[in-house]
Amino acid sequence: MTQDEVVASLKKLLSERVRVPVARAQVLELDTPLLKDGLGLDSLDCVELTLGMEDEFGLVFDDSEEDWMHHFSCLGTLSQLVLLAKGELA
Amino acid sequence: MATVPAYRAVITGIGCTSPFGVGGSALVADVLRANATAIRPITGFPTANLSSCLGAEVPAACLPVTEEGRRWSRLSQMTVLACRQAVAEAGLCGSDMLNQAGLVVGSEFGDLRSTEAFSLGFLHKGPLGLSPLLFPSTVMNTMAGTTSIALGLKGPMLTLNQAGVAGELAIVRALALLHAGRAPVVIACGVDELFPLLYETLVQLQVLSPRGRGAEACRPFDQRHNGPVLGEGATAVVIEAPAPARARGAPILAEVRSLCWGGIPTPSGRYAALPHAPPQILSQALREASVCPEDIGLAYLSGCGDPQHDALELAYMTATFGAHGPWLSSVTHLTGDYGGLGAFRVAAATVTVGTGLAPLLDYLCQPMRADVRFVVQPVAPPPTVVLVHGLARGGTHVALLVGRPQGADDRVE
Amino acid sequence: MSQRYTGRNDRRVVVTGLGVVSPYGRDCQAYWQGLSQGRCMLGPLSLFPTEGFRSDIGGEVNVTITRTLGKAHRSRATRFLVAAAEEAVCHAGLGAAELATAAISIGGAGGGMLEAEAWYWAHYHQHPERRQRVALRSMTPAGQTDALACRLHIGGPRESPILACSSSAAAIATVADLIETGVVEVGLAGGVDTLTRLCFMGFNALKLLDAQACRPFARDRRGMSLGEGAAVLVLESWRHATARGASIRACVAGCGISSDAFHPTAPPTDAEGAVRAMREALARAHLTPADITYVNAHGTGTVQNDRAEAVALETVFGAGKVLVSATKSLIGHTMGAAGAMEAAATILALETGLLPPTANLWEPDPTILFDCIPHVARPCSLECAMSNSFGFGGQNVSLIVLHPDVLG
Repeated sequence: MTQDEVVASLKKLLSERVRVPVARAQVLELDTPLLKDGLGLDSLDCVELTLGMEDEFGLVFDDSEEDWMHHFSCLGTLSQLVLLAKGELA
Repeated sequence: MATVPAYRAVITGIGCTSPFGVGGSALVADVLRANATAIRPITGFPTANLSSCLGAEVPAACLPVTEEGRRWSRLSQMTVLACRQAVAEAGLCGSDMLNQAGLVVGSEFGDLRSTEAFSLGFLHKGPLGLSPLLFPSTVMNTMAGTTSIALGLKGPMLTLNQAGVAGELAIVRALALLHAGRAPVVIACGVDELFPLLYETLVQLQVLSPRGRGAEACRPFDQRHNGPVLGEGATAVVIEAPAPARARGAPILAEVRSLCWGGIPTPSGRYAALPHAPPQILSQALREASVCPEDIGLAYLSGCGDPQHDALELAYMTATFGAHGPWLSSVTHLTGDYGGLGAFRVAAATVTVGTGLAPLLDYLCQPMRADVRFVVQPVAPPPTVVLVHGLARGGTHVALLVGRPQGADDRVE
Repeated sequence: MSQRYTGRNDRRVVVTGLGVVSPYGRDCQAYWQGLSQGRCMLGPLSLFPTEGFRSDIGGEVNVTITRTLGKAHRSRATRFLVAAAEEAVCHAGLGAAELATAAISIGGAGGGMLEAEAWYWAHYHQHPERRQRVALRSMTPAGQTDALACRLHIGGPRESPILACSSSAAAIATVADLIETGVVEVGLAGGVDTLTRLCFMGFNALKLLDAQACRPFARDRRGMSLGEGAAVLVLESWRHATARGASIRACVAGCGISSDAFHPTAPPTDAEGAVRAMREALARAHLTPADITYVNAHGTGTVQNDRAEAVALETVFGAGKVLVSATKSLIGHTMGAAGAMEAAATILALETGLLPPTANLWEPDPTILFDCIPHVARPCSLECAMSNSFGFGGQNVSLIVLHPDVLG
């Protein structure tokens, strides 16, 4: 998968899973903050998105790491997480 | 049976999310004045294969999607809107009092839509189909929790579950919280929504009108009654102790003169048997308020068109008041029936003591009894004390007396 | 210890009866025996399929116990509740006259949902059985309260409070209020919840369940374990109890109820709502933090909750100033029943002078600066204890109970 494909899927998940309006999700940049200082997602949203990503991409994430939420900082970091898990990144 | 002894409180704000729109005491007054029903064929979900199709729905336009409410369920949104309106009407927006304010939400079924959606996620797709975001909404305290966050309410917060009288019970518990000194102000809200699977199941169980007998209609206390017609909505009232409310310049819409509540041990889901003696709850409520039966100008009844419920309630009225007691009215033919409706009845009583307005039971063609007086034309003189009466399947029984505020400048025009 | 409780106050709230249904057995004796022995009852669930879920264990009341609990056609929740209530009423020696005007408040989150789920699952797969519809009658928690009120002919104020994990603690607090303010003389307060698919799936989805038995306050804790059960307390005014010669088991001295108004599932890191609830309980009991020897914690075993609770305890009491243990480590999180079951454990601790331990605490979290009584019950003669419930959605209830000898 390319990063663009992952980002497109993530935008779909943002709308379907955590109810971000479609129009808003579509215009998110790679570096638009998603958490408290930006889109406003919180820990509950991140748990929902994690399950959504597992379903969408056929992955299993270990969300027990201390700074797990850091991956949700922006679409850039989140797509990197997915690509790494899919083995698309070194 | 018990009363909250010698404790008066005042109602200082009303808010409703209803089939008639979202508003406060002015909306309630309009509803009573217009006496126009919101019951019509349901459009929110298919009913073509069912023997019932009527309901009173909150229009989608009243529940816009907002950024703040991104994760709110429909039911929670209804609750937040009603409570916010009531708080605004009470002049408490932005007040420090909200930090200590209590919140009591009464509901019969809670958020079954979210419960079903959550379950379906699993049934469709297994564990990966589950939505963590939906799960908190499957517990009935979700409406209160969402409202407390939205309005910044940090005092005691409770959700009370009961069939039939959830709205009244929320108000009773609010008064008890005030009486126990747990909060300076409490918002009490009754809420329930139409839920397709529940509607379908109640039709199949022959609970809803028409039960295979006559036309489908909401006709409490009419001999043609053949079951309830459902509605939905959220109604909130702000309740405070009188002296602090007056000191802060709150609008005093009405006083709670007394309340009495208890239960008649009855098999779950059934109504109590017809009484052999006057129910103590009603007579105790009158004694606590130091009023005679003749002082009660009007009573809002909870009768929903279920023949057993209607008969039992009228039996209670005649046993307490004798023949030709207070004028008997109801809001159910306007709003449809649901567990949290009692809060709307209290709001209606509040408006009635202030304005004299009360719904006319103009659908009554064959009243069940001739020895009671149903409101079929405007009530004169306007009642100064109104009884709000609630009966539930399973035996819970509530009586509240709502009175015109003591003091000419407190009246709501 | 404040001297105020040695004075006469006939509206003080006392406990005259206790009943518990737990994975240990159908009564208080079995409950206390299991708790005091530190026996962890968390094991594989058998009530419904668990394949595909990370955590598949819990504190299930086994069929040997449930078989003894009355009519099988009642919902599981109703059967638990009736058994617990009948034990409490029997030990309190309440008669028909007292019950006719008694308040009743039974907290719960799921109600008869276990049976309603079975109906819905069958409905979804398009083979519903008409007779399963009877399950829907007691689907909501009020169905259990109504059934109990009918069974015991209880005619006073009736409520079914739902505050998630704090439901039955709130039931105790609000019935205590009714007694203190003279509304009633007697009340039954408690709670019930059974394991349900909904709860099991939901906490799994939120990733709040540990795949192993939960480890509250442990360094490596990974989440909760689910449980089920019921507990009922008979509460009375001191005047009423002494007038009829009832045996007083404890005094409910003060209760605090607060809301976080913060987040649907997470507590604020400063735990300010929990702090307020505890301080309100202390103020209403006319006690100071120094008067409390032991706290039965909410103690779910999640990283966040235990940390926040420790912050709250430190703020109110000071680090290390109270002994703490988590009943949920032994029987799991019993949801709406937790408040009452843990209040019962606290009362039994006062009675016996033995503090129940925290199980699975092999390596305590070094940042939690309290002795959490690992594994072995601790002999401790105490006068005052606190039981806390900090529910989903930020609903906090704190109860303070006193040994009856303190009443003077």
